[in-house]
Amino acid sequence: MSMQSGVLRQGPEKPAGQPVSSQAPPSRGQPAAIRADHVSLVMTAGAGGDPPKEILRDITLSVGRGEVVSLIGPSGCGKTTFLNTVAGLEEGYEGSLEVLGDRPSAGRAEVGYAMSRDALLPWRTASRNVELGLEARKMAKKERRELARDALERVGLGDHLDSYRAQLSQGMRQRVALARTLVGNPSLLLLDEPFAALDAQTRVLMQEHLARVLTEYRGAVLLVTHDIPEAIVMSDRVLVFSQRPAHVSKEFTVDVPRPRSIVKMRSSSAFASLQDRIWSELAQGEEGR
Amino acid sequence: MTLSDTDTPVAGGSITERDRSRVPNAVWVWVIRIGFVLAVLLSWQETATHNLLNPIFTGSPSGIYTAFIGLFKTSIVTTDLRVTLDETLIGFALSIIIGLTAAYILNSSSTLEKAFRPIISGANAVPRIALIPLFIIWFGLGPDSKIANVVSFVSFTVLVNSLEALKSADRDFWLLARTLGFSERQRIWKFVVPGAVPVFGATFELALIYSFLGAVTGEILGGINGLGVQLETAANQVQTNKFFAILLLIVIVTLIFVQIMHLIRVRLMTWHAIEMRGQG
Repeated sequence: MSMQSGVLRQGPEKPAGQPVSSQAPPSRGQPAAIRADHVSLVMTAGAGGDPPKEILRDITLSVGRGEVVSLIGPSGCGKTTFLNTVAGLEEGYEGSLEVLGDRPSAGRAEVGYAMSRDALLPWRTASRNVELGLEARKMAKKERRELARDALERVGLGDHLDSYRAQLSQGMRQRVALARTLVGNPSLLLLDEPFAALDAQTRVLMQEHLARVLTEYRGAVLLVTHDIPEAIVMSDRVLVFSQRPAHVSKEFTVDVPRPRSIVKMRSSSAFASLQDRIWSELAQGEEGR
Repeated sequence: MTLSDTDTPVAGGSITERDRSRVPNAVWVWVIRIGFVLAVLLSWQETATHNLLNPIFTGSPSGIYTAFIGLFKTSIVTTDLRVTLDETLIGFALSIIIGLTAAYILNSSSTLEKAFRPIISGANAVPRIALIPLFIIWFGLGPDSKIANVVSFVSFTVLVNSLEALKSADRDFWLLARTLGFSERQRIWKFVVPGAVPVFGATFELALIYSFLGAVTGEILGGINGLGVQLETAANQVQTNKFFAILLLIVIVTLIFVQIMHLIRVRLMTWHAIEMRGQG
């Protein structure tokens, strides 16, 4: 596979407040993978009598089919909540939200969801853990097993099919979890800080790995991360969330064709400058508190 | 670029120096174990032969051995052992069914659980032995009152431990189950119950021992047949050797059943052994 040392150009920045979704996603006559129009979310008072919390305010964005978009923002700003809303885990939002042309709902086969903790079942082997991703659908056992093996081979764990969780390193566990997310061949991947639990070195290796897996993947990806370099190397666009209540404060386009060489990309000067600008955008958000 | 450099499997690997010094020497374990038992038996035998203690009250290992062999020529093994086993196993099975069902129901409704918590704690605090005379009034001197006794001894333990095991399920599993599209029932069966198997196993082993205890205690306090009845008779007639022989029989039978349970548990939990070993 040719690793192009793509020129890292930055797309036009859009000031906050403007409708970010004006940039048409590269759709081929299909509806966008995610289309959020003025989505707001207020968490009502809990049992403890806490005051209602405004988490999301007027979030407008879209993710096209085949596009990888990162959400980055200060910790606790609500990016995970937004991801969970898209996944159908949070209800009671206002505004309009379409996920693959439908209202969001949990447990859709065409949506894959992964979190930073691998959540592997310790009593199942790697391949049986991957099969879990298919068990909610009607599918013959044999077919499930074959798909699970394929998925594990794709993440480079073809010779660990029968290993239990305790026999795998943290990086391998994360890859099993990734295989479990990919095995159903979803059209949309929702990744919530998928590498946050890993040490720095393993994280970079996993990013390489995910980048390689994504070159064969035709669906859309929404990646929540707090790691700026990760957001840049993985995505076509980086959306910066403000402090809570979160809205999209800025959008950056990473104009490097995929597949990319993460190592080469990281050492380019354009990467450094984009990283600086995202960083200062985040820092501004912190000050404006 | 490969991932293999930092991604070595972790379990089943080498034992570190520190661990090795903690691995017990198998030969010494057996020397100490057998030595201790022999020392106790020998000094017991000697005190009996030399009348240091009255053998009518203390018995002697050789006397117990003779009495134990003698048991197999009596109806104690053919009738009483069977009665006790029936009571124990039926009571055990009922307790597991009652305890698990109650735990499953309480786990599925936090309202019910909250309502019943103090009631269960209160009922569990009742000294169960005190109920035996009542069970005899209700169910008679036969096996039924012993089964009731076993159930009252064991089902609460099963309920409390199983409920705890069901509730300790990982929150991440709940999230995963939802995003993968599993129903609430599937979630319990696929994500919660298998993880609770180690606790279930330990609970069942304990429950089995308590079932024997419940049956024998019930028989001692009043019954027609059973090893407890025979224990009581032997004690009343000051047949100390026979008393110990029956006790030995109870211990052996209990251990056989507990060992069977243990083997089943180990077979079901290969993963658990690996998990325990793997964390180093």
